[in-house]
Amino acid sequence: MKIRVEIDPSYGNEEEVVIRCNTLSEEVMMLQKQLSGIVSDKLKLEVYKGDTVLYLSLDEILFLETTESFLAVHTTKEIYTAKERLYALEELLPTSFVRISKSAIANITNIRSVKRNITGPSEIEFNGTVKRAYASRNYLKQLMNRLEEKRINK
Amino acid sequence: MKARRMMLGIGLLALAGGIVGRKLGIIPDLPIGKMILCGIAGVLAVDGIRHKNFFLMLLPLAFIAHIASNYLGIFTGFGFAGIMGVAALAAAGLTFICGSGNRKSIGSRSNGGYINDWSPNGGQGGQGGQGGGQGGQGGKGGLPGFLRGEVGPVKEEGSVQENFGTPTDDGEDIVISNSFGKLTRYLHSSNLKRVKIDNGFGNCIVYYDNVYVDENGSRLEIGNGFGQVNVYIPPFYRFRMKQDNGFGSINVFGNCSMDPNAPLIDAKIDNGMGKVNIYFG
Repeated sequence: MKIRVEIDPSYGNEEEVVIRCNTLSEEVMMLQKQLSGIVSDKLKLEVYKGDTVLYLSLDEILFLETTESFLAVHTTKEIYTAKERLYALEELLPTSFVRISKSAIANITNIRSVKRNITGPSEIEFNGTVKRAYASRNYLKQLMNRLEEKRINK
Repeated sequence: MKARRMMLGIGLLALAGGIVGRKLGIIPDLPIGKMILCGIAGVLAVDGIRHKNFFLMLLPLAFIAHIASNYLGIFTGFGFAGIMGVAALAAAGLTFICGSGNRKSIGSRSNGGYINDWSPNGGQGGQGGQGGGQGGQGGKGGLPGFLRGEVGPVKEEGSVQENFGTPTDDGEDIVISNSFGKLTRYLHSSNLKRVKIDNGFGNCIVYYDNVYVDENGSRLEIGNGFGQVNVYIPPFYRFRMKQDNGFGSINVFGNCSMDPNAPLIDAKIDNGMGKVNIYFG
């Protein structure tokens, strides 16, 4: 994979990174996620509370969960709605967001504890809130690996 | 109640299994009438376990033991009066040691069955005040949204079947029923009067999301058999709880409002062997 940086004064203030590829390979996906992670503090998710549109910083999000009719975005105190599909967001969101069940993605930077449950979903607690999310057994290993990676990288 | 119906269902299934077992020769020579009586006694025993009533638990079991004594080869010398007497004595002893399950809970707060305006520091009495409260208005959320500053397009296929639309007002009276599996509900109501949750074996999670409680307060009725029910209530509501707990647990996390003018949520929780968690936050 070639990496090229073009410097052109005619570009505006906002830098743009374009990945050119013939297929969306795992490597490209990973690169995209890594880049997303780097600029995540600038990313905002458009969410709704009633008639109000808000632009929510990704750091504020605890977890996202699909319901029958909308995507629920949980912060420590609020629940917002978003239209995006969960699997689409999973691809776009930085690596700190991990799929924890078929219907939910959690932000591991806000996870305080994971209570393992051999027979059922494991309970996830978050910092600064009583809210809980549940990681199904199929996704628990991936979550624990990601938490371990985060711990080692720190 | 769902849990009760479920127990009846289990009893009938056990009866069906017994009949099949008899036909196949696994359970020899147990008459159909006795089998039906055993099934009824079994359902009563499970109900006794749910409500932590030792008499209701042990007397039907003793009855079953008496009926099946000849076939199982146990308690043969006791006789009906003897075996029932032993069960009654054991039930009385257990009741003295552990207490009656009626309006009492294990491992949770109780004040004659009522907890007025629960909070870890105690609570105040009083009936529901004015309606209103906080929280966004239900109705028109769920409009298009996307990531600002996102990086590139992504794959088209997904792993989850999802439908998207606008959260609609669920009305004044909401009934949520779950038997098995996981169910998550986000309540949206502009004038909530009652929420009823029936859960059997599954995991039921309910959020008071965009909810305005009626000015006269709102009722929350939870019936849980063997599963887990989590209810998230905004902390600006007052909360009162009446609980009937068997061998499960009822837990409250966080603090509710202590403002006497805050809308009151009056909860009645009937828990068997499962777990009910109320979260304020």
